[in-house]
Amino acid sequence: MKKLKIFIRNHWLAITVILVTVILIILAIIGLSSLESFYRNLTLSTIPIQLLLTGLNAFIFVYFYMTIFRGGLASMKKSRIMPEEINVKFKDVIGLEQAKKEAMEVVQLLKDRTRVKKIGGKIIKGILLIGPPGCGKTLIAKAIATEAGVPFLHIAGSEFVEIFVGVGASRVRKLFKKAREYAYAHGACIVFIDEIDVIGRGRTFSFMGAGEETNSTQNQLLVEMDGLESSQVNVVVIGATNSPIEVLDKALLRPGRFDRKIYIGRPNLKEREEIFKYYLKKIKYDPQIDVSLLAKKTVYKSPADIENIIKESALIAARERKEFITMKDISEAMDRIELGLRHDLNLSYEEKQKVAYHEAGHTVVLYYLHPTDDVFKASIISRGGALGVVHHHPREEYYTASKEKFLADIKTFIAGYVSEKKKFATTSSGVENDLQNATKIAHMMVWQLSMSIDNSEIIGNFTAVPEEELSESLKEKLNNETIKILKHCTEKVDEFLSSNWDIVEIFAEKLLEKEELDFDEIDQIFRSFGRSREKDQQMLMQNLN
Amino acid sequence: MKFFNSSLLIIIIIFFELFFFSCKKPSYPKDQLEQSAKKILKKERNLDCNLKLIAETIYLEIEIPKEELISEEKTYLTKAIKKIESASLTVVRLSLSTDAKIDFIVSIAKVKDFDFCVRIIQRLQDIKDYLYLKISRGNYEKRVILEMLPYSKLEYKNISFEEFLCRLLVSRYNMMIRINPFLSNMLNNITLEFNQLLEKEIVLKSNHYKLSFTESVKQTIKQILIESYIDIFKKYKYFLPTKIKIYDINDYEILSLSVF
Repeated sequence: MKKLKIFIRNHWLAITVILVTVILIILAIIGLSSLESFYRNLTLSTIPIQLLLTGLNAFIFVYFYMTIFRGGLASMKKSRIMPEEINVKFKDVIGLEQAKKEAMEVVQLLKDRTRVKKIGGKIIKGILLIGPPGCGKTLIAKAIATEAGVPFLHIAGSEFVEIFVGVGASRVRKLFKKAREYAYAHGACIVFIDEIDVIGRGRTFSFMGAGEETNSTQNQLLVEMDGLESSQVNVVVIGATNSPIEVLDKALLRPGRFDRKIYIGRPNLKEREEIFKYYLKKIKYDPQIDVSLLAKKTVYKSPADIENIIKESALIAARERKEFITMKDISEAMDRIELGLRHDLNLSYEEKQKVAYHEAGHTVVLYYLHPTDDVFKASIISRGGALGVVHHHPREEYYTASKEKFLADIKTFIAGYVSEKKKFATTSSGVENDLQNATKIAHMMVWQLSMSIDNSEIIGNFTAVPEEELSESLKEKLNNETIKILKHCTEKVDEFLSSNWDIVEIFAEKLLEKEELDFDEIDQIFRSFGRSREKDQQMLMQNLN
Repeated sequence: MKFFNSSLLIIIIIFFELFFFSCKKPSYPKDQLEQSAKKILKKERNLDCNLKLIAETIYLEIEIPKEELISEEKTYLTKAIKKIESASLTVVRLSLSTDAKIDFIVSIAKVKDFDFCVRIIQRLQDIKDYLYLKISRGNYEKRVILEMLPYSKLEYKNISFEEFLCRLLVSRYNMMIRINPFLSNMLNNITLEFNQLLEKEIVLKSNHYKLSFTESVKQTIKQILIESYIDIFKKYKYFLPTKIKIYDINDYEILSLSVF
């Protein structure tokens, strides 16, 4: 009965139109049947042209109406989706076991809402999904809606933002009014706000009036989620954001609004394997593709990145007119996505040589000295604005970074500069990026992580306070420590490269010859000269540290 | 909304199916033509009539009292004309909405106590062309045959297309004479009548003696007939015999002309 009432209330216009149409059709039939057959046939024969002209008139009217009027400033596009239309179950969400577990609890509460209400409990008001982009936040929200079997309203945070103050708040009101109607008819309703940080950021209070629009929108959202009317119907708000939780307003995060915060992180090794298997099943692929190797190569990649890799490899295979994708296509796809498209620059031999020695320096230091990363590719082919690149990945997921790892990073970055200097007694502008990165890491080590090279007494995170509150002497000390780290790393790299210059030369020659080398080839080259990573690394680590 | 759209579509389709299914039958079936004509004229004009269907020609006959034609009062004449028009319209309506195959419509208005009738012959296809706006009103009016003849000479027979064209030719000449008093006097009030259609010539008969046909009269009649013949040919694109022979009241050949 309730459903019928809401249905009639929401569709009264359509019902009226249908009834009027039916009556008009009946009258038309009665009128036409009273005509003599000749005149009746004459009238009927004009129906097609009349329909055409009516349709044309209607089209012109609708076109002008939509383009000129568009139904007013505060109109929103239709955003209600029924659960059967989404059809994403929890089993379709790969990985994210912890997130799924929490989501299932929410679904169970929604399903048992009557029992919960009897006891006197309240179902959750809001769930915040936080995580990097492309990790499955929207997918989890869809799965919650499908499993709970309630209507799902989907809107992006940016849709609330308008130039005129008050329009955003009006849209929030309309959205929640619709949600309450659906909740009344169906028992509950889910409102999914994607990119909620657009309207959920900390409210700003400026005497100039800046941020008024966002403030008013957010205030409306706060009231709708936990205002006077909100407790009578079950409207669950799911928000998704890539920003850190500290960015959002505290009023939004308090219990009673976003009660649950679910972190949706990047997949681990096992989950990446499953994701690769899932996406590979959708296309034709070579059964010899090693999914575990692919999973190892894609550390820190999100499910969206993995999907993109598979899509790109399918395109590459199609371009080469292959029947299925191979490991080579996937590697090429990864290169294309990570490094960009290759573009052939006409470099002179001297420039090529410089690039080769530069990249050789990076490769050798990375190969021997880095504790966590492996070099996957070394290339002197220009891609994405860079003349050459050494592509490396961590061997597995690490959730913290040690001082040794940072120092190794700095050494890797500086190696190119040192290598160029050693060979040509000068350097080029190609070292700019490397030095920038090295300086940033050194700066972070000293200013934020108290990782000075000689374990000095300066302890603290000095970026937490405004720089003007630090004394000049302290700043000088910190900067000196930063420079010390850079100097130390430069010396060590210089020492290392000097004692392994023959390897650098060989490597540079191979690069000039082949232009691009992947891990197996690199490893093979080193082994063919009687060196292996494991044996040398232990020895060198002892000498250098 | 999807439900509404589909249910509305289904309702419309059902209605249209019912409608088209029930609209196939003609309003005036062939076996009920006479009853329908009597019913319509009685209801609309309080007139009695007789209807005959001879092959593909339909005849509708009404009677007009002589008072309506001889009175000086304009209203009486108007009444008579309206009765003739009603009869003509009724028979046209019947012919358009029946399943009988009809090519020619003949409306006859007989004057009571006189051996005189007005006969209007129309071709059904010309009427349809006019209703479909393929021809103009003026063009259509030029395709209607108006004849005044003794009632005793009336024959109920099937009219062929060739006969219709020949009668049309004669009717146009006669109409010209009747409308234009100057021409009428110039031509000594000579009217023509369609006699028969032979394989290579059209035979017409005049109501005058040979003496009335002076050379200038002959030339004028010839000119009028040739112009009418060419006009009819352009309209219908049909080849009638190009030779026309006119005989006088005593069956003497007065004029023989060749159109081309």
